[in-house]
Amino acid sequence: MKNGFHLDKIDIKILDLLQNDAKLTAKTLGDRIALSQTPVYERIKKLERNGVIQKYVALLDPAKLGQNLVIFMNISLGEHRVGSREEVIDSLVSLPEVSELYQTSGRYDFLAKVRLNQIVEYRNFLVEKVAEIPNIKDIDSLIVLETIKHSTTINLPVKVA
Amino acid sequence: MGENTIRLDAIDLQILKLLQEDGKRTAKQLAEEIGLTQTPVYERVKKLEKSGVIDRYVAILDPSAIQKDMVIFLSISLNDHAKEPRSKLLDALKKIPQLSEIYHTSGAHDFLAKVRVKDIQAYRDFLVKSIGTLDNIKDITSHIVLDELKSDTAVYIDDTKI
Repeated sequence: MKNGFHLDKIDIKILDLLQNDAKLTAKTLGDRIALSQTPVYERIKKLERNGVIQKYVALLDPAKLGQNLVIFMNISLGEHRVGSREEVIDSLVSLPEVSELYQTSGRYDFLAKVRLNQIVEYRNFLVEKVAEIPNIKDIDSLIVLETIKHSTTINLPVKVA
Repeated sequence: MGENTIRLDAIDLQILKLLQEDGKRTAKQLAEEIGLTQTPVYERVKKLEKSGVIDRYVAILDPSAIQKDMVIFLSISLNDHAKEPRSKLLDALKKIPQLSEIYHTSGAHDFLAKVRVKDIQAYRDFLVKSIGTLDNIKDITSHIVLDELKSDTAVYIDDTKI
């Protein structure tokens, strides 16, 4: 195991509860998994120190912020040499509209997820920002018509009743 | 602006931006960072929670620490697009815990889904045991993620509006 920490069943239960609701206190968690507060608290601190818990974040409702549009962009590079490739990656990562960026196998080089207000904004984003990045050969935009499921949780082996 | 949109001022947006980065920030810490006193900040946070602008607070785990290093995007095409077989498939897909995201998209395929597994063997098992039992799937293209270059849960908040 590369980054393997030994996580036992109790750790996994704690992680599963916290990735669904980070506001649960050590006391509530303890009640849910039949353990007292102090050992639960110590375990959480250890999971934070080890980096198993990376961070705690507030998840916002994009619609309430007027950000109703999600678009996935399949991006192909013009030239694949290391230097020019890195440049494209740096440029894409630095765009705040891009929330996720992946290098993928398949017909395209990258998959990017973009969230915006409306299609006019996407058009402006393409023309004003993406078009400025040299070395992008092709973009195929997949417009999300409906978000059917969206979760930040990772499937863990043990479920808490 | 949609009907769901709530009127948010520059201070609200600043609070949201900070809580998207670190949901454990206290009202006191938030107040110090934006130069306000604690009580009005606390009340704003409560209001943002009540109105649902803040949906919830979650812990983000390190996938490699729990041995879920591999991300794959699946482009899925339907056989039958009629309402009932379509929603039956969607209900089945939604219940698969390995699928964290599912989108209905424009383009050559019908759906884009994101799955996180341990390794390629686990993905093969997932395809055979979970996806393979579903009806009404015509075609699946798997895009294996070779590198996660950016992964941010934050909704983009335009700084010029703050």
